[in-house]
Amino acid sequence: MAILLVAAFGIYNILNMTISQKLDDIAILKATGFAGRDIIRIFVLEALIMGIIGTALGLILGAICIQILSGVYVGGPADYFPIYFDPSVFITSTVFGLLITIGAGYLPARRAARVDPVAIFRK
Amino acid sequence: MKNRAVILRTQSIGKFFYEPIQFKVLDNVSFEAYEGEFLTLVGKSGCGKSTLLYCLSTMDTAYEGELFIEGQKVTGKKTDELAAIRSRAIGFVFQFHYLLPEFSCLKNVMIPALKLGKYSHQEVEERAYRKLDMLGLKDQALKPASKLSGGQQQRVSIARALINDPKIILCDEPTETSIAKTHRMYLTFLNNCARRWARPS
Repeated sequence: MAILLVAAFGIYNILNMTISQKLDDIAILKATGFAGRDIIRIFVLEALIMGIIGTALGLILGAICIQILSGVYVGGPADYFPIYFDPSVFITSTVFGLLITIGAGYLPARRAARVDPVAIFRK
Repeated sequence: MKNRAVILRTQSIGKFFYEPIQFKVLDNVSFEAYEGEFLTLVGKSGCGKSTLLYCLSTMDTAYEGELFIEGQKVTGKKTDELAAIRSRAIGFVFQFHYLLPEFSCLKNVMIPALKLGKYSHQEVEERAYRKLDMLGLKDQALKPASKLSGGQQQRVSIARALINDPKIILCDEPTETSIAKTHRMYLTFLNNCARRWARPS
């Protein structure tokens, strides 16, 4: 959970940066008829793509680690490292991962939607 | 100019700037623009030309008075409704081109039309090609916008403003960045557009 939060901050920061760099582009999109929710959709989609790639990589990495660790002999009563595939863990982490991604994307996206094109064009 | 529809009308538009001091930049601006009319707004630097254009473009909503587009009152509408009006009825050419640098010229021209959603993707592409061809840029269509010269970029932005066949084209010093020859070319081109359709300012 803590790791997910850190990742969410990562996405939040990246998106904030992207938006600051792309103020001109946001302004022209709004000028040519994009509504606030269209802008939100663009940036939440960007966050979601990052989230999906991240989650997929995380799941693959997790599966590989489980595969390797469950083969490690530790001796004692456990014999092998006590770790095994639990689909429910995979499912909950995917769901949480994506939900947090959407949240972390939505906040900066809302800021982008409120960009005032006139203020940008005046510069 | 009679028998032609009034496409853009303002009713005593006024606007204040509050920072750093209160200052009335627009005072009681009222005019009517007809379909197919080519209007030029002249004035010294800082007199509010751009400010008026931003009000007319529906992007700036903090003004007094009323604005009518195609006979419909625009003042007081919600931002999403205004965005829809911009999409359908207004093309804007700025002093700078404001193209999306990562996209090809063709895509840049297509984006407002894809947003409007009136035509299929393929039709939009054909129309965008035609607009670029009118401006002599057909062979540049697939290049990224950032790879073109300043003048070419500005012409792409004109094509973008024309893509939805808007009733109104607003230009804020579109020739500022160009040399005298292309300057004249733009104005002739826009004037011809006006004769065929309708474009104030």
